[in-house]
Parts: sequence; structure tokens; C-alpha cells
Amino acid sequence: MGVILRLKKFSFTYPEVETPVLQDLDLEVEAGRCYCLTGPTGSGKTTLALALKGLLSAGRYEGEIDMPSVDGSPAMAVGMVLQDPEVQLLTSTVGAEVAFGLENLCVEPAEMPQRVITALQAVGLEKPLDYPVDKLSMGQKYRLLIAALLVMEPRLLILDEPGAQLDPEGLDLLRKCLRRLKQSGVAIILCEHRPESLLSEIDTFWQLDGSGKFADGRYRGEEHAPLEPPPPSTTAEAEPVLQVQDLSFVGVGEQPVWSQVSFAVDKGRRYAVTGLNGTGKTTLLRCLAGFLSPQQGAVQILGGAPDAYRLRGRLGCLFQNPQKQIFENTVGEEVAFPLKRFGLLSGTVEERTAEALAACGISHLVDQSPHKLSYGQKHLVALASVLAPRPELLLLDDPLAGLDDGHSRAVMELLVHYNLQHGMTMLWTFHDPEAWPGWADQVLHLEGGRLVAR
Amino acid sequence: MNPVVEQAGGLFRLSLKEALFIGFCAVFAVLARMMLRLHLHISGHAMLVTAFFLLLARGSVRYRFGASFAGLLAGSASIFLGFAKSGPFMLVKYLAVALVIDLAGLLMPGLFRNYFWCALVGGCAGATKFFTAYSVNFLAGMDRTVNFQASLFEAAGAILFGVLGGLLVPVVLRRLHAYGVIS
Repeated sequence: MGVILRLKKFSFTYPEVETPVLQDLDLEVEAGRCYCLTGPTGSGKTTLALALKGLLSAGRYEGEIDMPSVDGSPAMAVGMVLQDPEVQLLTSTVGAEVAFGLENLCVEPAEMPQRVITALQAVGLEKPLDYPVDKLSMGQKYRLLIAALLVMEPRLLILDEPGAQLDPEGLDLLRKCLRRLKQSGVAIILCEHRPESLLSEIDTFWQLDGSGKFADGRYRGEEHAPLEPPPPSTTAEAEPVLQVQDLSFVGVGEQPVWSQVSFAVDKGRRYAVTGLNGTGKTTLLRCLAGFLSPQQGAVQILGGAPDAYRLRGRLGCLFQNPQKQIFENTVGEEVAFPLKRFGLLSGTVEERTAEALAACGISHLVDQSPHKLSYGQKHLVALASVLAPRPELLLLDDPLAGLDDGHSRAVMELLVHYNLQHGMTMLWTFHDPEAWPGWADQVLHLEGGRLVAR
Repeated sequence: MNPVVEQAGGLFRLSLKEALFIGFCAVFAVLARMMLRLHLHISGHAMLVTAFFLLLARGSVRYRFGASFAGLLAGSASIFLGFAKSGPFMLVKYLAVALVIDLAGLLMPGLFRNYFWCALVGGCAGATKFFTAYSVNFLAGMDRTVNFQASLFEAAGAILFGVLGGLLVPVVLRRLHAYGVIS
């Protein structure tokens, strides 16, 4: 198989930063092979992927990227799905999103529907072509974007953190899809912290060592002793802080996302909500926080109905997409913002901010802009900003998205620490039911529109 | 496929991104004045919007004549829209303010992140109102003494609002910089 992309002594430095994020990188991408780019959170994996796609807009660079052209080929050269799928969606419906690329390649309209349907089936997204994109879950949006690229038959496909957004079923479909692509001569680059489910298709590992250079082998995080589940949270007596009774939510059309959901959350305990992509985990958290109104049922949270003013300072929410809750100019200001709004003394604000930053391992980023950090680092900033006020109840939507194993472990330990130390009640979501067994006091599983306690 | 990264524009080179920023600032400078036609009877209050957007246009790009370019666009748009009461003289009004800002930017490139310097430059830009007001009144045949007093009065208001407009600039630029919109 021939080389389709070559990197020669490539270095890149972001504006106003002294140290290059990528240094003297040499690599070759051959057709029909699958590469996995690994490295710790913030090591430059996404930057390298953006460089290969030609999307780095500002900064100093050296070296070159060489991509031999293929004359007469209607296929696109490089296709890339970004880590945050919401920044890449262009149209309002599923069919239009997948067909957009075909329109740009001047494909005959009569050919489009079948090619769009085939691409959607390849990623397991069985939705009508007129289904609104904004009603899809993050995982479903990621699948949609993969379909939107597959339909254009790229020569090189780059997927940034598919494991962070896809459930086990989605990863299995992706694995089969990668095999077919390899057989047809397409090269694939995965930027992935947890490539275990795709190992059978990966031919080569690249590892960024954190200083911008390649190291041998695959990044596996720091060596840790096998992780034991933490002790269960202890409370003197069961005191419910959240009661949900016969809750139902109808999304698009008449089909309910879930219905007759009932459960109670006791003070000081840890709960996990699991379920595959699109089962309504995020929707459930939004209903609990009062961001969405369910069609039926009642929610009693911290002694009353969900009301933003009443819950101010008592309820913390970590969104699945950290970009949606980050807005300040620096990481320090971001974490300190809620504390200042709650009227705490400046000394307390500084102390709590420093504590939360240290706990999340991002003290060194205190003066940096949170908007320019990696997806995983943004997640840590958002987590620090919701932990700092020490709310009574914390709703966390996929708190480990975009984090490597070391940071995931640290975050889980941190959450348990805040739970045990401060008696903080927690409800977090995962799309993998098998992830972190024993870390929650109770697991609530969403499946087939129903909630099952495990 | 080489190079993959577009380098920042040179001193006399206007990149597409910079051109878009300047265009946005010019459009907003005109739109804001049109939509906020407040009859406050306070002389020079339009300088708040003019100084703010022209300072923003220069502060958000590396292009040396960013404010002048934005002033040229905004002045032309005002003339063609028949907006304001000075007719073709609107172009001179915008350009006079813009030239002060560009000159200041040339002497102190880092001034746009500093409240004091932005306020000072905004005030100096507002002071150009004296010359433009005097010229308009002169062409209208106003007595020199009366013209001088009236122009000074108008310039005082414009300086005040120019300072206020300048004070708004650093916070906006810091936010744009934090979001990575400008470098």
C-alpha cells in the first residue's frame, strides 16, 4: 500500500506560548492501515490531528505535511470527526447532514438517498432522514458525523476520541466499519485514550510523550496498583434529597424517551445512571435540574420543585460538553466565579479555588484561558468550578469524557473524596454499564425507555 | 499540501480574518448609531459608539490601518444610506477619529489592553469633533466666535463619550482573546 500522507520534521507552537506543543515529528500514513495516537491529556493529540486535516489556523510551525494528490478522484482527502461533535454539525436534520458532503462533491441527487442510508446503517444510527439533529445525544451526533464522512469516501479518516462518546455497541459497529474501510484502502487515525475495544483493528501505535515528541509504544498512563472500589458512603439514616415519581418525557414525535421513571436519592450517597447512547441519560439529568419539563410525573429536589433560584448554591451541574458552561477569561476566574456570586469572602474564595484546582490537578493552568485547553482539560476546569462551592447535590453528565485513564481514576477518587468528606450527594452518568463497578452505591440503568435499579 | 498553516498577516497585508473583523466593526458602528438614535440632547454622544468600534477594529487586528479602514467603510455606508446630517462630511468625521486611533496604535501597539490608554486615545479621538464641527459650521456661514464656542462645547461632549467608549474596549478585547477569536 502506498503512502498517502507524510509528516516531515513538523513542529507547531500556539500563539503566545514559548514551548512547542509538537516538536520535530516524522510520520507516514499508509493506505489501508489503522493508527492509534495515544498520550496523556493535553499532550497535543488533537493538535496533531488538526494539523493533518489542515485546520490549525494560527501559530508558528516548521516542517511540512506532504499529501500526494490523486488526480480525478472525487473522494475527499482527509475526513475528521472532532472530539466535540457539536462544533462540526452544519445542518438541522440527519439526512441533510450526511448528504451535505455529497452535494459538495456534485453527486447526482438520485444517488444520494441510498448512499446516505447505507452510511447511517454502517454506524448504527437508525433514525428517519428528517430527524432533527439537535434532538440527538452526543454519542448519536458522533455517529452521525462519522456517517457524514464515510459517505464522502475519504482517503484518510481521523477520529478524535470515539471512545469518549460512543457506547460499547457503537464501538463494536465502529470496529466492523474500520475493518471494511481498511480493506478498501482507507487509512484511519484514532486519537484515543482507551483503544481496548478497537485493538483488533489497530496496526500501529504512536505515542506523544507530553513534550511534543513521539515515544515508542503505546501510552498506558502511570502505573497504578489495581483500583479497589471505595467504601460505600455512610449516612446515619436515609434522608431523600431527590424523589422522582412516574416521570415521562416525550422527545421527537410520540415516542417517549423514557416513561414511568421513579427513584429516590438519599443524602450523602453516590448513584450512577447508565445506558447506551440515546437512552435519555442527559435528558433525565436536565429534567431533574429543571432545565426541561417532563410531560408527566413529579420531581422533588432538595425539598421542593426544581427551581433555579431556590437551588442556587445547593445544586451543581456538570454538563457533558464542558464548553457549554465555561465562559470566564481564565481558569482561576472560572472556578472562582460561583464562589463570588454566592457572596463568599475573598479569602474563602481564594482558598476554595486553590483547593478545587489542586484537587483536579490543574493548578498550573490557573492563568490560562479555559477556552483554549483540550477537551479533557476543559472537563477538569468545569468539574473544579462545580466542586468548589460544595453543593449539597451534584449532577454529573459523563464526568470522564475526554480523560485518559490516569485522570479518570483521579477524578473518580476526587468525587468519592468530596462525597465522603463533605457528604455531597452525587448522581453521575456513564454510557458503559460495566465502567467503574462498585464505585456507586446504586446503579440506575436506562434501557428500552425504562429505568431499572441494579 | 504544504503549508497547512496560514501564517499571520504581515504589517501591510490584510488577511481575510482581519478584513472580516474590520468589516464587522464598520457595520456595527453604523448600525448602532442608526438603531440608537436617542434624542438625548447631549452633544457628542454618538462618539461613544464611534470611538468604541473604531478602537475595537484596530485592537482586534494587526493591520496598521484597521481603524482607518473601518472608518472609511462606516463613513461611506453612512453617506450612501443618507444617515446623519453631515452628508459627505461624515466620511471626514469617521476618518479623523480613525486616524488618531491608528496613529496611537502605531506609537503604542499594546495600548488596546490597557484601560487608561484606551480612555486617553478615545478622548483624543473625540477631540477631533472640534475640527469637524468647526468646519461644518464654517461652511454653513456661522460667525467665527460663535463657531469656536459651539465647536468647543460639542468637542467637550465628544471627548467625554470618547473616553467612555475607550473604557469599554479592553474588556471586550480580553474576552475575544480568551476565546481565541483574536490572537
